[in-house]
Amino acid sequence: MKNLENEYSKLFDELIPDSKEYGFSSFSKSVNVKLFLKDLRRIKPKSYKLILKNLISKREIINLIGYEILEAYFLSKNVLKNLKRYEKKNFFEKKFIRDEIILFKKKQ
Amino acid sequence: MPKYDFDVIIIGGGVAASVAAYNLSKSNLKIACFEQGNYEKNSSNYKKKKLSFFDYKKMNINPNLRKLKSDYLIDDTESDISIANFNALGGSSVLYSAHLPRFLPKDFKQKINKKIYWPLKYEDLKKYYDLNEKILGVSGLSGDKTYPDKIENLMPPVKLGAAIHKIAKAFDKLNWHWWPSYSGVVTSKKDKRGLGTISEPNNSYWPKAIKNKVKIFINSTVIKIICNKKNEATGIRYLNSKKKIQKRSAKIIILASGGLGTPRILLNSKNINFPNGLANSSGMVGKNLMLHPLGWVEGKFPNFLKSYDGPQGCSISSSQFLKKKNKDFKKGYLIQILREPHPVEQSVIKKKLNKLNFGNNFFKNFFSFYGKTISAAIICEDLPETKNMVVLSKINRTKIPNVKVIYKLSKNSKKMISHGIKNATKLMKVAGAREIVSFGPVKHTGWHIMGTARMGSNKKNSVVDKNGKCHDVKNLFIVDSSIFTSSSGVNPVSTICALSFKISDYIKENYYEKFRK
Repeated sequence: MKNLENEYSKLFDELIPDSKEYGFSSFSKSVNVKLFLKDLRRIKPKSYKLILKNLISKREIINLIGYEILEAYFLSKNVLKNLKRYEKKNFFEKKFIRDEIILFKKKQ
Repeated sequence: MPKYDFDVIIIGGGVAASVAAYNLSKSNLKIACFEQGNYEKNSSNYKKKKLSFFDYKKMNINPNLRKLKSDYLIDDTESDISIANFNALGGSSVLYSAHLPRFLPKDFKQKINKKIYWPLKYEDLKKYYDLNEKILGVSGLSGDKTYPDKIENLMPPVKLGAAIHKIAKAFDKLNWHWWPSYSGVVTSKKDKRGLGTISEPNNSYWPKAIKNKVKIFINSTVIKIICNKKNEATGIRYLNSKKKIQKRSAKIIILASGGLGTPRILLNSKNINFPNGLANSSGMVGKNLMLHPLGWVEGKFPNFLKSYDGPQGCSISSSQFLKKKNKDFKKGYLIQILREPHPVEQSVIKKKLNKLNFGNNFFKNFFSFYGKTISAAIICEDLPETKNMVVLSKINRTKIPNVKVIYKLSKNSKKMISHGIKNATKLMKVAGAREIVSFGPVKHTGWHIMGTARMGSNKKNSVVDKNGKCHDVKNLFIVDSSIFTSSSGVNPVSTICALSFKISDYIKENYYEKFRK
């Protein structure tokens, strides 16, 4: 099982790899793969069985649990923290805060 | 005089049930509520949304995928729209976006045909809308000309943010109506629930009702309503949390199980006097299903606008095409502007649309849309048609049949969706969107389930009267969205609450002597 877990970690990282450009970590550095597989067992037992039997291809993984990989990744604390950092760096449209008060007053 | 376990039994634990339970509990009555689900907290509280992967999956909007113990299978193979709901104390409000506009006065005035119309007026519900906005907690801006009266009990409106601000300006350029949403979001520091908290029955009505000694039976599925020979409801048969069948009696029974659950229980409660289902001499139980067909337009903007910032469904909306008559179709639609979903949902949507691919370009793809998209939902008023219905299907493990939804989108709705998509696309272009995607009807949007036990003056074509009382069973009341005669083009929760208040007031005023015995 441990071996299979390692193999899948590598495979998941091919789907969501490290990105130096955007400052984001790969899947296995952001999500506990062991826990993810355990949750999958409860959520999608049929897919879990298939995964557990043998190491399956990247394409099959995407078909079987592609959406779950995305969901687990974007629920990870690390990823959410990095998204906040991205927001601070890239958000410049602050003029609207003053405009908004005027807009509401006009409406009333 | 037989002895009863309770004065009132309420079947269901959603918004309608919570209002009735709270209102009746102020009169010192012995009240019990039977809910098939468990206690759950609202998962869409946007400032505190930290869910584990497992908990997130547990909150799926589709009961057929969620498969919790409290869920029953909904066969939607013959429906253009799939049902979205949640079974728990608080009902679907556990997952709702908390958009809480009132129905428009014209919704109650318009006749479906010569014989079918609401037997009450907007003015009859006004004081109950006011009361609900105060207790549940609604934010917004007073002075909207969509309504004849000034809506007073509002917290300050939810902040728009840069993205929504852009759309508001576009509405102004087109000279179209827009108004900050009536939102179930706490925006006042005086409210102890905390800024940003979603207003829901579980943090408003239910705690008050429980304090007033309403007894709640969770994980308890009602199978049948029992009647005597005089056609009076005497109690319920239910499956308790240990899966044993039990009985409880009451002087009054209130059904509050929603547009699916209510007809399910009525149809399953057939007896010698009502072979086609309880309170169904009209044959209208389960019929006239209305679901608010939805069109969708998403605009992608060139700059990073933090468009996900704030509650997704509560920003601004426009009644421009809801009030105006149109030569191409009957009724109208609301344009509701939606913020970008949380990345966990947005990434899946984009993957489905082939806009997000795994591999080396994953982040490049993701940041090409993250914080840059805004959507417009076109919520169409649905017409009641007898061919659209809820029927019983196979018996499931809980001894009560599952349901099948038969629903075909009408030509009128199709025309309305096309019209709405065209106008929302125009709006996005004026706002400066570079890429625009549109589609409709959206399949998994059957949140607003209405009309399956409709209200009316004539017992031949309706199930309940203007007081929510079943024409056929004098001590059986219905307080949920199944009693809606028409669907309007706005979200139904405020109207459900107002009706539940009105009906429970009627029960208090007219059945006092019965409760005293």
